[in-house]
Amino acid sequence: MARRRNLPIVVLALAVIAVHLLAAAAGKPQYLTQLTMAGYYSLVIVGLTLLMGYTGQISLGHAGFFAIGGYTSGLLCTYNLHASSGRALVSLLHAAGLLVAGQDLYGAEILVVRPWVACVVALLVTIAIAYLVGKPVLKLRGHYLAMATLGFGTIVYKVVLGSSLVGAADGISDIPAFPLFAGLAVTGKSALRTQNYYLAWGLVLGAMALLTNLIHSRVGRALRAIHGAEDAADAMGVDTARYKLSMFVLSAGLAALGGVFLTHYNGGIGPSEASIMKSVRYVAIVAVGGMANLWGALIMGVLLNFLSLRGSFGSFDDAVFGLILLAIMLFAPDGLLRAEFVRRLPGLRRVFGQKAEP
Amino acid sequence: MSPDLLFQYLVAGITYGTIYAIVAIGFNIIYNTTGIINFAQGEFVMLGGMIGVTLNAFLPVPLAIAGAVMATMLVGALIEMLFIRWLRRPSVLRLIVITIGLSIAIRELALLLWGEGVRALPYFTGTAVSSLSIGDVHISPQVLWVLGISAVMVAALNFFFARTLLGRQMRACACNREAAQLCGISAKNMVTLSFVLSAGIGGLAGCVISPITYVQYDSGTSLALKGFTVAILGGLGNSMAAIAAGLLLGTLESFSIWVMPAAYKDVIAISILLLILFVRPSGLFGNAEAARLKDY
Amino acid sequence: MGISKIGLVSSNTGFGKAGKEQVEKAAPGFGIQIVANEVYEKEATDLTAVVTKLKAANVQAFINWSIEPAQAIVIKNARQVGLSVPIFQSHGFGNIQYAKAAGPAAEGVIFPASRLLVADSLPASDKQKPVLLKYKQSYEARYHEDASTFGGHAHDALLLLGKAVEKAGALDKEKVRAALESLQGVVGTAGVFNFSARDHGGLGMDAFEMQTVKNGKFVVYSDTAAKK
Repeated sequence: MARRRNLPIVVLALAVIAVHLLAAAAGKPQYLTQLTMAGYYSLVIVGLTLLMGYTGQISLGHAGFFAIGGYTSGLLCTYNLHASSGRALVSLLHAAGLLVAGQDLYGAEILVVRPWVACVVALLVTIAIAYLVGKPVLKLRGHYLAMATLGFGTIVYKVVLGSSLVGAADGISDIPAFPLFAGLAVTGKSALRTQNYYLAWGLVLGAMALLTNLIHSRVGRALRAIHGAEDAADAMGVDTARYKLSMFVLSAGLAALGGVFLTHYNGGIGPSEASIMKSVRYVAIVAVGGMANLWGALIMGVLLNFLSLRGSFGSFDDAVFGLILLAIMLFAPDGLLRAEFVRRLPGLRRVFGQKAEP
Repeated sequence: MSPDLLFQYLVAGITYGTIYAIVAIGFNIIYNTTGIINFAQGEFVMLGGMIGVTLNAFLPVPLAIAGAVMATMLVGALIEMLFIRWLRRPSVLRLIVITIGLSIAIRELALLLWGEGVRALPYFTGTAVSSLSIGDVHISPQVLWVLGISAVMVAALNFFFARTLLGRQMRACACNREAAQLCGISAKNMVTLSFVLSAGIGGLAGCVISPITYVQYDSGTSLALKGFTVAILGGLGNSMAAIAAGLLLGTLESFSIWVMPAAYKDVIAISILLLILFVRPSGLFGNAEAARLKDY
Repeated sequence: MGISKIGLVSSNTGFGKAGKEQVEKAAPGFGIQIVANEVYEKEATDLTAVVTKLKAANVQAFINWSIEPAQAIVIKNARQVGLSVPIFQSHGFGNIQYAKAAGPAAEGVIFPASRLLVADSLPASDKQKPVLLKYKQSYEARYHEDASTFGGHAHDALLLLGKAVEKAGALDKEKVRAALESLQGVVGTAGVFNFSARDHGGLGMDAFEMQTVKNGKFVVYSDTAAKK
């Protein structure tokens, strides 16, 4: 089974390489930029698929986690500690090598947190918040869960929009590149476009490998039991509360990872990343992908985000997104990949068409 | 803080609250018959306002509103018949995503039809600056119109669902679709009817609040988010509770502006709501047993 | 006007924020103290509580920085709660449709805008008058709606680009830029443009005229006009 399970991962890796070669051959390397961004959004979407499709818990607040990750990292990397460099805590951090000194555009001294430290802090902060929010929220069910997560998303949105510390309506800009190792940095500079494309999709591959193995493990079986009948699962000795919470935290962590990387890649983040309509979009893409279908969600996520980022539909972007949602939900409600006409394609079926989980 | 100002904040809260409540009521009808949250409800409100203003160019206000309500009902019926009626055993989530798609499509269509302009019906009594005053506390007469019409709407809906055959048939479908069908009720027609009713209520709401809030092609979304919050807070399906919850949320928001920067209005109000929800997971006025049975 | 204590309200958008920051920076220089400073949602449906806060702070006037529909809602609510101080709006108020939308609440609102809105009442000696009238008449004949300053900006942009290309004599990017930077005295709808290598805005303070709404129409603001 394990080999078959890993086959799609290999196919995806090959597809990532093939797309790169195609884009290069067609002389359109700029497509890789949007594909990189779409890759980071996909991290949110596959994480949400785990939570919604496999654990059966809806979240209308995942854009909030994406934003917490991106904003935390962005703020730490741009907040100038130079003025307080005399303080004990700041000098301690500086001595520990967690800060980086430099000069801004106008030659003023700046002292900011190192990007990798910021990234780790951002992920830890998001995970902590997800834990604290998830603990009470996941006790709710159905519409009340939807409402509570929507409320959480609204709070994050209004806080970033209302706080001058994070730039209010303007958001944070001039966020520095995130150097990883020798010559590789998360940045929008076109010289590193290909490297960043592979970096983003490397992360997506890693996430997919983790999630596909997770859903076929003991954990995955427990999740399906929770989705099917939570009370029954509880009665059978499945610690439903713990499983739900861990999946919530894991999906929030993936969203934050996407947020952190995309923020450094774009060099900025604005409040619209936290808006409720973003969260609704993520939920819709999971549904269009077929709910309990990581591959469907990934493909639809990349497709829709890529088209939208390319601006293929001009001012009709939203309209087209709405129509695609409608069309798929009307004619292929289990997601495009499980639609009848796709199932008849034998090759695809072998790779992606595993029997649908509930 | 003088008592006058205190009451003025209360009046502001009532204004917010009635707007939320009248939008929230529309969510309840479709939810009651189908169990779905209609994400396009805000667009019904927007359509009602837009059509009302358009008709008002050559019709007096009452006729324009009547026309707008009927037109919105027609849209509701068309939507149900084109996009929902023919689906075989759709899941609740599928229906919700369909309504998300519809809401986006209607919004974009409105943008094409009416452009980005901001519109409003005239104030039903007085003008944009008139207000009723008690001491130094002022309230726009339009707020009383919204409050009154919401009350009449709830009373009429209660009568309809409790006393009329059609209303009872709709309730029967909501309780147990199969059993209702066995009794000869056309469940499909009841769902269509619920869309028509919800659309009509939304359309009326859009007309009545437009003098206060204005209406624009995209004003449905934010109204729907608040209406949705209030509908759930009150306990889905309960229109009376929606009004109470709307007034509660509105008052919370208004007083939060008194003590905090206005930018954090929603943060305060929603934090308090979440706390309430954690203590009473079935909504403020909801039934805990019923809440447990509903999935999304 | 003898005002020293003002309120400042703005929407939570980039536009609102930019205006808020400039007012905060400029106010102390004029001996003006901002005693209430609130940011509201751009989708706000009603702002009674916000204007109540202004009222509680006893402001002598207030400035609002936002666009539709909030900029109309805020003035309506201010008048409804009996806050009768002078109201200043941003140049975002420069479309007569907005004044019409706010009805009687718009009366007396003061805002800066280009002379396009008051073209008809300008003295014949005004340099801009012929350009403004021509733009206004052709726009209104073509689109059957009142001309606003915003469409005028697009007109000016095209006009300037055309002049620059003409002056450069070629479609070379560098040359067109250099020509654009050297344009002087170009009369547009927003004012008279004088560019230089350091000034890419091109307009001076004199491009704006304080205006107000009187009987549903934009008129040039003057202290005497306000008293009537």
